[in-house]
Amino acid sequence: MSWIDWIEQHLLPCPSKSLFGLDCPGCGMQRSMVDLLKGNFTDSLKTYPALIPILITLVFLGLHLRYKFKYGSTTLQYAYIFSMLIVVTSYVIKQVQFFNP
Amino acid sequence: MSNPPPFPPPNTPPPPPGGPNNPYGNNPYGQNPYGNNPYNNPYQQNPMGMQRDVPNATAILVLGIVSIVGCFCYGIIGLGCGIAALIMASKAMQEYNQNPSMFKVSSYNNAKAGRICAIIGTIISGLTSLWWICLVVLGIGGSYYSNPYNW
Repeated sequence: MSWIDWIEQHLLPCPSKSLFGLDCPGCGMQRSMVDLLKGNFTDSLKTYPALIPILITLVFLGLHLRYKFKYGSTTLQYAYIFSMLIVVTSYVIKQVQFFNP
Repeated sequence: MSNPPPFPPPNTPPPPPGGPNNPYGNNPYGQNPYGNNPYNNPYQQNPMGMQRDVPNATAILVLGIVSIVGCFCYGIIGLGCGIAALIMASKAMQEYNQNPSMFKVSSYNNAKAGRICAIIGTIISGLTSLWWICLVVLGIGGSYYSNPYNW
């Protein structure tokens, strides 16, 4: 899979990580995406647990806009809140581990 | 019959109630006995089958959900998307509340869900931005930058 290798070597550097050395809440998403493209679901979840819920939310958003599900907007709202909770929780855990190794 | 036409053209005064030619007798309310003509003011009434989408409902939903990426780049993307969605949503809600029967329920639900997502996204991106501003102001970042153990 050459194109995945190419992506892996051309990840965009996070400005906050390169400037301050501190992770931002989105750090790890690209590595997680590479893991997912390779098919390693566990690695993907470990690197950035919120990636899969976010992808599902975005795919469902597209489907809802196309097919107009009856309870689509409510489902999207809860999916969004769920993903956001995972983003915030995993970031807080990461920071706590970072400051108290 | 000398009845008044059922839908008098707008801006014509209603026929005098209880006039000599009015077969319905006195109208105790002193109004046009046929009620308001729905075509007089299209913004107050809902003629059948004329429901339309809440303005920008899709855009509000998409921007609200895209504000999930607000945590990146110091929260700038999330703040931009979230605030844009909030502004559009407040306009749309105003328009909807003036006349709810004019709009499709599905698009109203989209706008409502998008607004809630935008509120959450804006708050979290705002907190992220504040966190980075604090880091820059307090100069915490520099010490971690220079410490190889923190990479």
